[in-house]
Amino acid sequence: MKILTRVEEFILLAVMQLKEKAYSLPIQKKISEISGEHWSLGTIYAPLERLERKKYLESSLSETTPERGGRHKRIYSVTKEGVRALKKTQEVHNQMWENISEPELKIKRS
Amino acid sequence: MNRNYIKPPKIAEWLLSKVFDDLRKHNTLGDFAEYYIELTDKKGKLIAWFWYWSQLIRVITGKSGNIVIWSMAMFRNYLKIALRNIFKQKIFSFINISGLAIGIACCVFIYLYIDYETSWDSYHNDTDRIYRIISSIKNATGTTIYAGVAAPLMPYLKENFPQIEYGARLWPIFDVQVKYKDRLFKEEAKNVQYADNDIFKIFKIPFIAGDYITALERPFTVVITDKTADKYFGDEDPLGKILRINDEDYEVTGITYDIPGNSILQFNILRSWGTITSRDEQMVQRWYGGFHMAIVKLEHGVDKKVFTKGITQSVVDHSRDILEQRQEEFTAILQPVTDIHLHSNGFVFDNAPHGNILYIYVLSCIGIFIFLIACFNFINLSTARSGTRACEVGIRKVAGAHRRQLLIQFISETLIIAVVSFAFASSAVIFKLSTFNNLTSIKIAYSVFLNTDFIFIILLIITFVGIIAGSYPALFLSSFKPVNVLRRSLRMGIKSGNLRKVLVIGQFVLSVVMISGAIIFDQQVNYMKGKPLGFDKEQKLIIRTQGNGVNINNYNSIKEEFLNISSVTGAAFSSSVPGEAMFQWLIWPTGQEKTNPHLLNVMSIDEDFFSVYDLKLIAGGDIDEIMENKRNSRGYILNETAVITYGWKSNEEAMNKTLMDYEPYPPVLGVFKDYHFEGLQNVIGPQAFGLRLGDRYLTLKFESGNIRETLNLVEQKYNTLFPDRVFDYYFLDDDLNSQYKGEEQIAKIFRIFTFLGIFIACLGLFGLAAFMAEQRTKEIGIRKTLGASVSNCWIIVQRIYYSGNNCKYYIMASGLFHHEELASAFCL
Repeated sequence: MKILTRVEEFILLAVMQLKEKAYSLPIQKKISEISGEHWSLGTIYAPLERLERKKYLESSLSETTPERGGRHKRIYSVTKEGVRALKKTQEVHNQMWENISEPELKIKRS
Repeated sequence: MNRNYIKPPKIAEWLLSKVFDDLRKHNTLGDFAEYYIELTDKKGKLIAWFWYWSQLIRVITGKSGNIVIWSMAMFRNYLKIALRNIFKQKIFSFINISGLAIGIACCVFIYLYIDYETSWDSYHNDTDRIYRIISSIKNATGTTIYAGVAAPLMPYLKENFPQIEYGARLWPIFDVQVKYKDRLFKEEAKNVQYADNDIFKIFKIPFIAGDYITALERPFTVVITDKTADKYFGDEDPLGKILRINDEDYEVTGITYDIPGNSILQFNILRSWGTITSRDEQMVQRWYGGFHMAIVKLEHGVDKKVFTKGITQSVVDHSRDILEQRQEEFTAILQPVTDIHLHSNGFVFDNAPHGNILYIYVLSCIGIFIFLIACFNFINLSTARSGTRACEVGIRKVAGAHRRQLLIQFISETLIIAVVSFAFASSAVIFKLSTFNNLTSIKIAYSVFLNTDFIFIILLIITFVGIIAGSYPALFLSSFKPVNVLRRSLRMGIKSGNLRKVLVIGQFVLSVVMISGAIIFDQQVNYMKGKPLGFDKEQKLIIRTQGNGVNINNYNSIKEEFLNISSVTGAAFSSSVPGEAMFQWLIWPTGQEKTNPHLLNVMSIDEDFFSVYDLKLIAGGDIDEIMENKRNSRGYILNETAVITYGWKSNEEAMNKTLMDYEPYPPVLGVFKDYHFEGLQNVIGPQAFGLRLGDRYLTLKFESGNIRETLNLVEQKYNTLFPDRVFDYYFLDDDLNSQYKGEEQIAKIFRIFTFLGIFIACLGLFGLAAFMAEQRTKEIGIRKTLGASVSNCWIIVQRIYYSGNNCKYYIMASGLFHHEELASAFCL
């Protein structure tokens, strides 16, 4: 139950990368930039809440800004559990990729 | 651009804030606000605006899509179950559906009728600027409203008041004879009217041929309708041809489309008003005493009060002397054109056919009553049957249905039944539309069903039925506790017994009210028709003889010719007959011109009039003697009311008086007993008989027997005497009875709808009874095994009714008790 889905993984990683500036909008931007695909805000919200429910993320309200019409930002940070989940996922990922060499990745013409 | 001032579209933001709960609200909305600013910078305001709104739509469809999809998933099941239940219990379904169908059909008919009656004259352009000028005259005896004003008023107003855009007068005067080539036609007065040309600019009367701007400008021109053109000219082109109306030639200058039924201006022929002035007829130049229909179209933004005062002043200025003399006060009133049809009760000299707003109210009540009865029916039957659904409800609840879902299920079952009923109802309505038209003498076209208003009303009715009739059964059914149901400990029939009683009693009360109403109405109409009028209206054949050349020399021989027919027992010439308009002259006792003048209804008669109509002379001696001596002299015979009006204390005192102030002072020759020369609705006014020959009507009294044969003989005789004239006749009793035609129709409609309402109620009762009997099948079976006979079982069935009966009798008794009050409420 600890293996994360791709979206969850990306979100947790993005949160780690963004440090204090990790709220929904920058998360969405970063993933979009890096992956090259346009991710909508809606794709981010649900997993964010799910992760928080699973206690991989914790959040707190930060200052209000006039750009947001005077509303708070919800800043996320990864919990210990979250880090553990990430590590586990990475392990499994690496093990799955073991022993697959470059030549095997070349697509054979048949 | 200062970042801080860019805000997302306010409405969309507000809507979004309603959709999200508090937890997420700040987060999401804040994000959107930020992103909006970035987007505005990057791609421009328009794109950002679109993006924001698209987010809103996606959120809403996302959330509601959830509900819709789940609901739709269940609907297939609900539909299946609903249909199964309908077919499983065919009898109840039949009763339910037919009850609702009849109820809906009745409501639809009543709606159509009311819609038609309230739509009179609403199709003209700018109806809010069109008014009819009417006169309110107040004197010592009270206020009377006359449905018109003096003829010279209109041109005077048009010249002196800029508030009028267009104004036209209308005047239907006597019946006319129309001749084209060698064919003779007769047109009734109301179909041939004098009209000012402006009428085409006020009312929407589209022309097929001819120019509406100038059609009736010249004297001796006429405009006819399409139907009339066919009647007179067949396939010929009527434009420019000459019609001979009452020995005068008129040129046809226009043909209009046939007039729709819902307008106060109904005509076959319109004659130009200029024709009257070119003949210089005195009657239309008087400022007092003429009441012609006057329609005006005002300019935009006219102050009606100011204008009305102006009209009143104009009339008063021109007739000050007479008004003072008669001690009357004149006020003008502007009546909106759309009010004329329903709100003109009691107006005098009203030529426009009108209905009664009271009927509209009454019919609406009936419609509501029938609707309620049908709904109560449905509620009763559904609740009674609910025992059979109890298991289903229990299992559904166990399987996890929310109460709301069950409610939706049962209400949609009701809606399905409502839709099915509506399907039946609409086929009934379409089927019976022509019958309804005949019944109510209004013309409803089939095209009314395509009207968007109508469709909206229909949907409203169906929804109402579904919700009103369906909500209680739905609530009741969905409230079953699975525990009780599955243990079969649910006691049916007791808990719902109270409501059932209340509803049945409610139905009964409504039915009783409707029945009383219908009975009272019928009684009123019969009363009016049967009440003695003071003269004999039976067996009278009236022939219109105006213009036939009857004079003092030949009238006796003409009468003798007709009396030669064996079945004709009496003949009399007169200037008017009961039911027709009479001349009204200002008459005063000699020397009292200023103090005691009164308008009298005056009729000229001959020596046989009294005997033909069975009138009674109560002072002055013998009628035959008077006729013999005073024939063709200037005396008057007055009625009792006239004597009282002049302030004389007895009939004998009246005998010594003379009238008027010129030689030879016409004496009062006698006094006759009052009779109703106008309808029973009116109070008897003062009347006088003059003895100069009246040549407009010939009354023939005939024996009962073969009416057809008598009529033929009379017609033959007429044609020999007057070969050039149309035989225009009618029977007096038919004519007088037709005065009540409107009331009779309403009474009939009343009766039919009341019957339908009661029929529905009985259907419901039958259904209930059948159901309860079915419930008790086991009990009856056991009793029979123990030896009860059939008659014993009947007693059980009786007991079912017994509980409600006491209350019913009480209601019925109190209803009858209040008959009198109801009667006075309905009194017309």
